[in-house]
Amino acid sequence: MVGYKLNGYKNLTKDKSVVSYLTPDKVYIPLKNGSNEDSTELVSKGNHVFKNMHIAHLKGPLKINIISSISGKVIGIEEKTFFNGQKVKCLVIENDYKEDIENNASLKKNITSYSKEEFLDCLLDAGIVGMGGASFPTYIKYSTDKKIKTLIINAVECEPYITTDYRMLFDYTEEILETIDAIMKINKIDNAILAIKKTHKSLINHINNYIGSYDHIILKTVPNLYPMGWERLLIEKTIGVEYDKLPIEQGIVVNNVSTIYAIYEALKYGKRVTERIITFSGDMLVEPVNMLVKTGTLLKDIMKEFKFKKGNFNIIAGGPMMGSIVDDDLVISPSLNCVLFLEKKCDVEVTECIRCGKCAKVCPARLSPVLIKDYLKDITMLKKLKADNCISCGLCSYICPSNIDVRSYTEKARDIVRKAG
Amino acid sequence: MSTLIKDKNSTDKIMTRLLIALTSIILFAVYKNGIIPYINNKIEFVDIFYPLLFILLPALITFSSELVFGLLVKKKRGKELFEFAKNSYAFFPGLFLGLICPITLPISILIIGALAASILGKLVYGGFGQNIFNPALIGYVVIVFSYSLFFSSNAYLNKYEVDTIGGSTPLTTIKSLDSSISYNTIVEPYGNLGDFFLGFIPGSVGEVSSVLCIIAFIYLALTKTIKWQIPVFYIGTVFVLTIIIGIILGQGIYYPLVYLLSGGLLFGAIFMATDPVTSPVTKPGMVLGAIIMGILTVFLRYNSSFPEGVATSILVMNLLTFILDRIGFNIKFSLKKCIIPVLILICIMVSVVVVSTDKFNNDNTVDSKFKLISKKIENNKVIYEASEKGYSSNIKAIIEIENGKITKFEIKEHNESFYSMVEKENYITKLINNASNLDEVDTVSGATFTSGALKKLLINVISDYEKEGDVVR
Repeated sequence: MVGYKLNGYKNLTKDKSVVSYLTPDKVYIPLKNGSNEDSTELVSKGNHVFKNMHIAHLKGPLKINIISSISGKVIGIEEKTFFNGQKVKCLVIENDYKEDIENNASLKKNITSYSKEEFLDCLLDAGIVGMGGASFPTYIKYSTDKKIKTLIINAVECEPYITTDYRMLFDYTEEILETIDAIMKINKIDNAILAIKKTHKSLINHINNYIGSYDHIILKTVPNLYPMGWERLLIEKTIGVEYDKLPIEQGIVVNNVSTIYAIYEALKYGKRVTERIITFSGDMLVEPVNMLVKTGTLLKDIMKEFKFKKGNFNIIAGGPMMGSIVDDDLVISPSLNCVLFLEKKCDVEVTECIRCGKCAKVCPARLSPVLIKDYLKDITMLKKLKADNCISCGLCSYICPSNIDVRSYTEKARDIVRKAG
Repeated sequence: MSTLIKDKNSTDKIMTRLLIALTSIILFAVYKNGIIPYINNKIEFVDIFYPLLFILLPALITFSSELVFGLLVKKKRGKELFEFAKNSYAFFPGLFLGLICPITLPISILIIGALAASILGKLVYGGFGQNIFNPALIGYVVIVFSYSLFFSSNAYLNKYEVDTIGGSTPLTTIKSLDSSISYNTIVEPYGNLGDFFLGFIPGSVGEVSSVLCIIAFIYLALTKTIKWQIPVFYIGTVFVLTIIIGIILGQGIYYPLVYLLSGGLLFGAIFMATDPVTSPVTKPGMVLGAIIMGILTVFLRYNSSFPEGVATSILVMNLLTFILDRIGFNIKFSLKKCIIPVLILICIMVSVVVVSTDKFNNDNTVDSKFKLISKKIENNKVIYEASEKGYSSNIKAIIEIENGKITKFEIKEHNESFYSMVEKENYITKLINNASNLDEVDTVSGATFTSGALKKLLINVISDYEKEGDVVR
C-alpha cells in the first residue's frame, strides 16, 4: 500500500467547540486565488463597501469573484503574505463594525429547487473555491456536459493537526447531508460517497445517526494514511477507478466538506465566502483551537488572542507536510485551512543517501524519488520515471532516514519534465 | 523546503537496529569458536576472545580507513570527521568481513581483506553511497582469490571441530560424495538437522547459526530496516530449486534443508544482499534480483569449485542492480507483461535443475575420480594398478586379487596429510577383511576423504574384477 501512517495530532482540537474572531480592525482581501492574479478591482480607495459585496474579479479560464468580508471603507492596496509564503496584493478595508450586507436576490426557499444554471451562477457568484487547500473554483467542477455519476465528499483531512472538516461535519451534519442531497438532485448525480478516516470512530457513529434518511449517500471509511485525501488516491480507494487528468473524465466530482458547507450557505442564505473555520494548532500554542475567522484577517491580529509557550517557533500556513513557512503578515484566504505554530528545531544533519528505497515505497504517485534524484540531468529518463506526476505531498522528505529533502529533487524534476512538455 | 515534521526512522536508528541484530550472532560466534573449544580443553583461556578480535579488528580497520579518507579527501575535522565516518556505516564492511571468513584465517590476511573492503570496495568509488558492490564482499573476494589456500574446506573448522568432525563443511561433503548421497552421509557426520538449524556445524565465524539469522530477519523486517523481499525471494528460490533436485535424486526433505541452512545462505541473504546501497530499490527489481541470485547460487553450488556460491551471487546482483531498477520501474504489475519474463525465469530454473542433476546421474555409472592405470593377469591372479582422488592428492595403489580374494593392497603413492590416521586404524586391513560388504565399513573420522577414497578405490577395482570375472576364470 502506498502512503504512510502519520501521527495525526488531531486530538489537540477535534473535540473542542469552534470559537470565533470576527472583529478585525482592518481586513486585507488577497487579489489572488491559486496562481490566478489577473485581477480587476471593482472598488477604489475611499469607496464604501458592504459585506458580501463583489470587490474584484479574477479573469481567465479560472475566473472567480473576490468578496468583501466586512462593511467599511477601502483605504488602499498593500502587500501581505499569501499562504504559499509569497507576497500578494491585498485590498485593505477599514471595518465600520456595522456588518451591512449587500442584498442578494434570487433566493429559493428550498435549496433543491435551483436549476443547474442557477446553481452554477450561484457558486460563481459566491466565490466558492476548493476549501481543502486546492483553491480550484468549484463551479468549474460542475460545469460539464458529461454525466456526473458520483459525488465524493472528501472528509479525510489526511494532513496532521487539521480538524476543520471534522468539526464542520460534526456540527453541521444535517446541513451538509441536505446540501449533498440537493447537489445530487440539481446535477442529477446517481450516488454520493462520504469518505471518512476509519479511525474517526465517534464521527462515524454520529453521522450514522443521520445518514439513514438519505438513500443515495453512502458513508465509506478509508485507511488512516497520508495522503489519503489526495483525489486520485481517494477515488481509487473508494470506488476503484483510475483517471488520466481530471476525475470528471470518469464522471466523478470531489468536494471537500467545508466547500459543501459554503455551497449550503450560498444556496440557502445567499451568503458568499466571507468566513471560514481554521485550525490553529501546534506544539507552541497553549490552547490549540478551531476558529471561525473572516477572510482577509491578518494573522498578527488573530495571534493577539493566543497564548504561546516560551521559545522560538515557525508559523506554517497549511499542514506540516505540504504547508509553507510564513510570517505573521499572513492573510486568511478562502482555501487556507490550518495555521501551525511549531517549535523551531535546530537543523537536522543531512547524510548521504543510502538507497534504502523508502521514498519509492511510500510515494502515493508511485514514483521512485531515489532514482529521479539520480537522473536529474537526464530528461528522457525523468520522463520515463514519470517525474511530472509528483504531487509535492512531501512523504519522501518525511520518510528519508538521511534527512534529505527528497521532495525538492522530485519537484525540480517535475518542473523540468513539464517545461519540456 | 523540507516537511516540517520528520519520521523518526533516522540513519542512526537503522545502524543501531543492524547492530542489535548482529549482537546475538557475534556472541554465538564467540560461544562456538571460543567457549566450546575452551571447555573441551582445545584452547587457552585468552583464546576465548580471539573470535571477538577476529570480528572487531577488521571493523576497526574499515572505520579508521574511512577516517583517513574523511580527513584527506573530504577535509573533515574533529567531531565532524567522526560523524562522517559514523554516518558512512564505516565499521559494517569490516564487521561483515570478519563474520564471513573462516576462523583459521591468519589475522594478517584478514587485515588485508578489511583494507581491500574499505578502499577497493568503497572509497575508490567516492565513499559511502557511491559504491556499486558490497564492500565486505569485495574484501572477501580479494582475499579468497589471493590466498585461496586459507579457504580450503577444512579451514572452516575451529580447534574443537577439527577433532570431532571429519574434515570439511557440509556443502563440501555433498560435493565430494557424488552419487552416494543419503541422510547418513550428508547430515550424520555433523549430528542432526537441529545442529544445522542452531549452527553447530563447521562454517564461517558468524554465519552458521540459522536460527539467529532468522530471528534477526524477523526483527529487521518488522522494524522495516531491510528490504524483506530480497531474502524471502532469494532463500525461497534456492529452497524450491533444491527441493526439486532432491526429489529428482530421490532424497528427503533433509536435502533442501541442508542447502538452506549451510554455506552462509541465510546470513548472506539477510545481511549482505539487503545492503541498501548496492541492492535494487524498486520492488520488481528486488524480487527479480533475488530470484536471479537464488538460481545462480544453486547453479554455482552444483557446478563450480566453490561450494557456497552466495558471495558470487550477491556480487552479480550488485552488478545488475542498475539494470534491475531500470526494469523495475517500467513494470506496472499486469499479468500479461509478466508472462514472458516468468517463462524465461522458469526455463532458466529448469535448465539449472537439469544441469545439476545430470552431473549426479552420470556419476552413478562412471566415477571420474577413479583411474585404472594398468591390469595384468597372471594365472589366477589379477594385478591392478589404479588411482583415486583423495583429499589433496591422487592415491595410487596396487591391488592383487586371486580367486576372488584380495591378496595385496599396497599404497604406492599419496600426499594425504591425514594418512597417518588411516594407518593408525589399520583401515586397509579392515577394508580387505570386509571386501564382500564394503558399504558397511565406516570411514575414518578425521580423515573422511582419504579413507573414503581408499574405499572407493577398492569398490571400483572389485566391480571391474567382477565384470571381467569370466575371462579370468
